[in-house]
Amino acid sequence: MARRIASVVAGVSAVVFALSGCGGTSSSSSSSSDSGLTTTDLNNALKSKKTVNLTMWAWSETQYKPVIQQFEKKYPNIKIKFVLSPVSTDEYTKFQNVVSANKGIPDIIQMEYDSMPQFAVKGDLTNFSSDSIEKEVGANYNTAAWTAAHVSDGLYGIPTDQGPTVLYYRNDILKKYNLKTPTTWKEFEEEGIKLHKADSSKYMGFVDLADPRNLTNFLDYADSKPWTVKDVQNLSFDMQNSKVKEVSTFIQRCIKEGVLQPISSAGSEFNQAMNKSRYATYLDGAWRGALLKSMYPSLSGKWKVEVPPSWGSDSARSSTSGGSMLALTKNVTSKTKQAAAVAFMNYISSNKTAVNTLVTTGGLFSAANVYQNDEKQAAITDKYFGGQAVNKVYFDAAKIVNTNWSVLPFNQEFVNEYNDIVVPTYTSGDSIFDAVGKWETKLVSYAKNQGFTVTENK
Amino acid sequence: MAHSATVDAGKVHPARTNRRKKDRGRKEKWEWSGLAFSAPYVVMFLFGTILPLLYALYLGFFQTKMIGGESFAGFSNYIQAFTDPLFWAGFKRVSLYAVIQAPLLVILALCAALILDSGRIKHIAVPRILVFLPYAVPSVVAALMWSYIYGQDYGLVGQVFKLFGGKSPDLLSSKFIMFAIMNIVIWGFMGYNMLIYYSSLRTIPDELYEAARLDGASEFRIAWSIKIPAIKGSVVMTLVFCLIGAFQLFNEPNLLQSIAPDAIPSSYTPNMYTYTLAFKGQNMNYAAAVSLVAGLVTMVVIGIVKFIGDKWSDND
Repeated sequence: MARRIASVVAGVSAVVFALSGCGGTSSSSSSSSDSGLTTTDLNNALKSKKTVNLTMWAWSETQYKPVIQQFEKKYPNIKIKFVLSPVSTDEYTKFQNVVSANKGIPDIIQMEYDSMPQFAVKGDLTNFSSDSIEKEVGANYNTAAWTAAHVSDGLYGIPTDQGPTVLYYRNDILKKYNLKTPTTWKEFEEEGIKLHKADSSKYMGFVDLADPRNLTNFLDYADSKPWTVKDVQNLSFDMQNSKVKEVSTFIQRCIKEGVLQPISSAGSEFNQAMNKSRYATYLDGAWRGALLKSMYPSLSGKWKVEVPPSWGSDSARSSTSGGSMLALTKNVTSKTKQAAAVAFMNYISSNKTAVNTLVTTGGLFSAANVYQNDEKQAAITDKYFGGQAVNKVYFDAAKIVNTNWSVLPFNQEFVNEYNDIVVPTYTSGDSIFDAVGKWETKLVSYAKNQGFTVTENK
Repeated sequence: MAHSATVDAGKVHPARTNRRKKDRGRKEKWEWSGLAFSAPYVVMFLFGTILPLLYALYLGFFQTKMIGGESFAGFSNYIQAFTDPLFWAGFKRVSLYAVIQAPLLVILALCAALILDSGRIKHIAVPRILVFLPYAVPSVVAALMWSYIYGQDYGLVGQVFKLFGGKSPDLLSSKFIMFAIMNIVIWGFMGYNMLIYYSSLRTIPDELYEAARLDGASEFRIAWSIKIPAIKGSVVMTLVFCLIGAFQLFNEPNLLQSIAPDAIPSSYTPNMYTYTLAFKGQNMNYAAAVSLVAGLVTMVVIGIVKFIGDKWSDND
């Protein structure tokens, strides 16, 4: 009973607010509306004498702590209370709890690109999009990263780091078997067949059973657009289109031909296989390089890296694996506070000194243009990769990340259903394409149950 | 410690002795001090078990949508849970698991206890602790360790097969995964059950054995006709615990899932299914309904087993 009254009251007050036309504060759930926040507001917030206190939740403590200090020194009127939160999903659960309790909600929160839309559509984040911010602040960042901080037209945060996918490959293996570095996926398959024929214990690559991005990255390379987030309430699905079919059959064929081996990267078998040089390539985000170095030191000098091969006759595309942003929560309602928070997030994510700190001490792959266009950074060579200028490749990959892509606003459910429905087909030999169809049915019914308006292209 | 517990479970029936006292016409006086002694347990039970159950029951009557928020849902979650094919598939899986694993665990532990109790082993503390040791390994570590051992190419199993020139079957494939999990759990819990049986066996008076030997009974006959009947109560109790453990299976499959995601779906066991619904699907309300239904079904099954088991152990 009390609950019903509460919801009635909430409904009535919403109507009253709508009637009285409370301008100024932006409605966090509608994405099309202009928040009215401008870059002038941001600059004023930095110069203002009035103290603004902001609470920030993040798990990347070693990365953020030093840049927060730099910021506070420069702009002492904006005070940041840093709260170390548990990593990723555990943080989201905690955030979910404070949002339900409507108490202790932070102002700024670190989120992965894959998880942000979930909170944006529920109205837990604040949309601060405006022409001036899109144009002037957006110009500081890699286009794909900037797009990923959006849900449709709504802007919910500032991108910090990014994970463009690249093709790591074993130069020594390819040389030994007289294979060329694949520039198209067709070549990848052809060279893989040759390799597996020459040595049946070797594979061109692997399908990581433990990584849901494996398939989505391929769908992205082929620009297949299997789903679209039209706005915070409207989704469309098109997971049985011809491009999806091409991708599914390509992966299925590669598994059959011994080009790709399905294996989970989580087990010890995988590490052993890597050390024993079973795989000639490793497709993953640009952050994988540092991990290869630390996990397989014995393979030093044998690896090289290139942007992913291209699909069909298309030009090469990269996809996204990981990366995080700072999101503005619904707790920040006043315009001055919004301006201060956005100015802060923008400073630590794109100011040259701050980015330099993030990159050098934090080891982040920054999404800021000051980093990705830096000639000096691009020229740095790496012995582990045979003296290759790896950053140059990473920057090139970041430039070609497909922006024609959206993340469904229920990532965990998305991953879960993928694991249950699609993953078993990699080893069972059943049709991957049919499984993707079943996956679509599940996602559609989930989306409808959650109150989204769904259109299906059948 | 353990032996008094087993005696309680098996032999003494407090309800029956009470009734006998009443029959004699002695009126029991209310002892209020007893309340103080039981209060800590009652409070813990209330807050730790009853209230969360009621809260789950309450949660199950609502639904939360990403767009639209929370609303009253009536019995729809419960009806859906009772007819959910994923839930029943998981339940069937753990039932099959329980039917094989629970008796196997009991028999193996019983054998180990009888061997230790046979009196033919010197330095009995050493094998006893060795059998018990796996119980001290946390199940998380055990699952990881075994996943290394199971490895088809580089694991111990794979290497042994290689030694003999063969290729090991993939023990982490969907065909074998259930047995792989059973093996981990049996390895972990055999020592614990063994210890319960062993301490029950130690309470059997030696005179019985002497008498049996005088009558010409072999050691096997003694084990079969004296030892096992004497510890029936403990056997039933551990069997019930094993069954409960089987129906609540979670840790091992949940850990192996990342290593064998193609063999273990997120609804592999009812417990994993509710966990997935609550924390991955963000569907707390439905998760609450499913967990209550799962609890109810498990209680019915355990109740039946307990009823039959008690009949058997009372039947001397």
